[in-house]
Amino acid sequence: MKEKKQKRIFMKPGRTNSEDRKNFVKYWAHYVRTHSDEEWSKQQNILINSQMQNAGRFVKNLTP
Amino acid sequence: MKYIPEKREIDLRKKITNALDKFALDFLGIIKKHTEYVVISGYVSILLGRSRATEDIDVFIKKITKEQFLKLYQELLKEEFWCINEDNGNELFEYLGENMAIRFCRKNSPIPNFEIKFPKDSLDEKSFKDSINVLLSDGEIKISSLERHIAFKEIYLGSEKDIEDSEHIRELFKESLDYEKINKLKELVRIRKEHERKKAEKNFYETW
Repeated sequence: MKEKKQKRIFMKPGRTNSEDRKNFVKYWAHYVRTHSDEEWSKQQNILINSQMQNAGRFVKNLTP
Repeated sequence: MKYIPEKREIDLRKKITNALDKFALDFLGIIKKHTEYVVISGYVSILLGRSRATEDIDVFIKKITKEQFLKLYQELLKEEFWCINEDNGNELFEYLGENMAIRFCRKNSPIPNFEIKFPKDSLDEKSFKDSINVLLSDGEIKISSLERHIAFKEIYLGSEKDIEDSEHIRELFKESLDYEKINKLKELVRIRKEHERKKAEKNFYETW
């Protein structure tokens, strides 16, 4: 069976840092809308879980 | 992600829960035994997929008596949550009564933390009814309506991060948002912000 090819969406680079960030927010929201919850959450969790781990490590290092 | 506006429900049961969601479910599981709550601000966007982390989760709790609050506080302590502001329950209740937010975290881990507050006016009060249930694989979280979230982010808060949080929701739910409701709420929020600005200005000059 032929594998269904998904059309790639490209992000327009911004002229300023703020515009670029805004474009990425839209790009990512579109990604979330067009991909399964399992798929986008796997990627989001890399960011969130690592912040939680780092916060835990930071506190451990502070504790004598 | 399936949003059914008529049912005021977002189905996220296929989302892989992260450490922040687990923290939220643990804390809110205790809160809801004692009073009604509604999650507002940044975590609403994050729960719905925004690609950023946060140090705190903001939540309104319905006004309760001091006795009810002390019971809630005892259970939070029993479940190893700490308050960052103070350890005396009576004083914590006073802070809430003065419209100040108090923060709870896991024992020895200030990040992330929960910022809880009482609603300060009817606009805040209405967020309890104007809310949505988000279904996760291991529980439910009640958040403010998407339209209310957008109005507050864009008008009341307004930093670059807030505008981006709002943009995420606008893009994600562009086919199901009630744009008339957003505009009405934005007007109400604008009036409140102006009222607060005038009050702060008056207080400033009176102090001088």
